[in-house]
This record gives sequence, C-alpha cells and structure tokens, in this order.
Amino acid sequence: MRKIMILVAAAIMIVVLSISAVAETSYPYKDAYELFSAWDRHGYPDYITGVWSTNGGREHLTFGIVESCDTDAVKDEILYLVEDVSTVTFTEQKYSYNYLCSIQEELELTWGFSDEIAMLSLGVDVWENCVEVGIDFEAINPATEEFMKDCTERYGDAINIVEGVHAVTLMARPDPTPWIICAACVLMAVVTAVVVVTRSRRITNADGTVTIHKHLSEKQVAALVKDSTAQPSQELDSRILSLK
Amino acid sequence: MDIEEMFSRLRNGDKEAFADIYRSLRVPLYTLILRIVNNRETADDIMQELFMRLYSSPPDSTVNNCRAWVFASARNLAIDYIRKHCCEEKNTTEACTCPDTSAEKLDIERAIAMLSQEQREVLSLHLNAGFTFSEISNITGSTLSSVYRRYRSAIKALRKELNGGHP
Repeated sequence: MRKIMILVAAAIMIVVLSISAVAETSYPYKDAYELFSAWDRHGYPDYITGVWSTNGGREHLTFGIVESCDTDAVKDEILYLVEDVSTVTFTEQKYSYNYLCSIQEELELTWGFSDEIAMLSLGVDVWENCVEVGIDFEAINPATEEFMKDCTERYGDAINIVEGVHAVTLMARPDPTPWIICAACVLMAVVTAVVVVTRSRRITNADGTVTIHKHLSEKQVAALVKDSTAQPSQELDSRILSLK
Repeated sequence: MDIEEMFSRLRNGDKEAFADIYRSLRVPLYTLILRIVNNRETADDIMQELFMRLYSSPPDSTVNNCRAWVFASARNLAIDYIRKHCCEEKNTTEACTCPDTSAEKLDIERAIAMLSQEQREVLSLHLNAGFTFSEISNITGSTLSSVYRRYRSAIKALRKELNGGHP
C-alpha cells in the first residue's frame, strides 16, 4: 500500500512539474494580434493609449503606451506575453485609451443628447491621442460656445475640436469594451498606411531637377509653426535689459 | 520659477524680476508681435515700448493672469501700430525671417506671412505662446468660435500652401 501511495505521489509530482515547465516556456499569445484581440474582448490596461496596424495588415501592430508610466517595464510585460515579438512595435503617447473613452462617455452623457449643441461627431482618435469633437461651425450658438469652452478648460489637449463634416447620431455606449472602435482603428490604419505611402510627391521642375515635397498633415503643419519662433536680436535684449 | 511669482516680485520692487520676466517671455512675445506687424524694426520698437510700460507700471495684484495680460498688451500695441501706420500689407515677406534660415523654416515663414493678421495672431498665441483657445478668446476679445475658425482656417491654408496647392 505504501509503495502504491509513493508511486501515485511521484506521478502527481511529475505531472505538476511538467505542467509548470510547459507554462514557463509557452506564451499566452502567439502574436500581437492575439493579444490585441484578448484586450479587445476584455478591456485595455490603463497603460495602453491605443493599438493599431503598423503596416495596414493584422500581422504587425503598434502598441501605444502612456508616456508617464514605466514604459520600459510595460514594454517588457507586453513582449513577455507575445511569442512572436517581431509583430509588436511601440510608441509613446500622453493619454490612456481608457481615459479618452471616459471623456467621450462623459461628453456623450453630459452634452450628446442636447439639440442645442452643434456637435456633429465624437470619437477617440488613437493616432492623435485625443477625443475628436466635430462641431458644425456654421451653426454655433451660445450653448455650443459654452460647450467648447467647457471642453477645453476641462480636458485641455485631450480634446481636439474640429470642423465637423459628418452628422452622427450620438448615443451612450452600452458596453464599455470598445471593440467596435478598435476594429475601426485597425481598419482606419489601412487607410493611414495608404496616406503614408503617398505622403511624398516628386515634382520635376522645368530645368529637369526634381523637388520632393512632403505631404504634410495638419498636425505636422502645427508642429512646424510651433518650431518657427522669432528671436529678438541681442541688441534689443540689451536695450530692454538696460531699463532695469 | 512661476511667471506669476515673477510678476509678484516685480510689483514688490524686485528689479531683477523684470529681467527674469523678459527672459521667460521674450521669444513668444517677440514672435507674436512680429507675426502681427510683419516687420522686424517695428517689432523691436513695440517690444521695447511694451517692456518700458511693464517696467514703469506692472500689472497690479487684481490681474489674475499676468502672462495673458502681457500678451494682450503686446497685441494691443502691435494692432495700434498697424492702425496708425497701415504698414502691414506693404511689408509682407521681409516678415518673420529668423536667423535660422533652413529651407523648411523659410517655407513656413513665407506661408505664415500670407495669412491674415488675425490668423497669424491666433497661431502665434496658441502654438508659440501655448495659450488655450479660451485664453486666446479672452486676450483678443473675440468669441471662442471665431478663434477656432481662425486657427482652423490658418492651419488649412498653411497646409495647402506647404503641400504645393494640394489640401
């Protein structure tokens, strides 16, 4: 009897040890898409700003990570979860996807059903890392003015107010898991990839030289203006500083 | 150090605070003035006038956003100058040529010079000075929607210009 018990205990130990050995060498997700799909179903961690296709397909995804967190640790954690790490690319952004969704939800609940607000569209833009609010600039009224002021004061650069073009029926999302949005993001990434491919234009000049123009996005234009500052001359500096 | 604290020191007679304020605000203020008047000599004069006034009568303690107050003063001086001298349309491309004259920088400066004064003003206040649209609305006395419109139309126009006519 004792021999049988020892044999059973040994067998159990062997099974347990082999299971843990397998667990140590296997990964929960085969590739980036599997991880994305899991998050898509069960919700995103707070350190994620968005997930989108890197090259237009599903085989290679970019994971946006909140820049204020321990980004190296988060990257390690994601790479630890995915077997084929070549399918993962990282970028860093300011706001978490969950935070942006909460802003969207709040705006929908607070303002979305009001007929007084000239809001045409509302949604999370994962690339620009903000909630984009489309306003009908032709129909701005005092209530819309107040809404825009409230948005910018309350959320700062997490909100981007643009001239809206598409009328959208706004409704509160019943399911907090934003799978439709994420699927749309992957789909939109295909469009973005096309835009990126055609972003440079070659123009052959009359003298045969070739000029390459970048096709700039609005954000790139804003960044150029931001970088473009004027420095007062040293002479003006000394004139003003000598006033004191 | 916080800019509002510098103003508080200036009000209390700390003359070193004047230099600190100048060093903190010189670039965005000068950029705003130059964007409005489009002429370096004029911008120099307005900048000097602005700081002379600031030195002799700093904003009192009832002003709750001294930074915005200074930018509003700079804007008013620049616009007064334009109204008096009507120089804006004549001096366009001499405009904002800065010491750093890389091709890209010249492109953007030329494109900015083609915008209206109101558009340049909003761009400068938002992108160079970092004010929110609400703050810009208070500084310029325009409605928030006008500020948005100017900003959006300016960015669109710049994008079209820089993309060789393609939106």
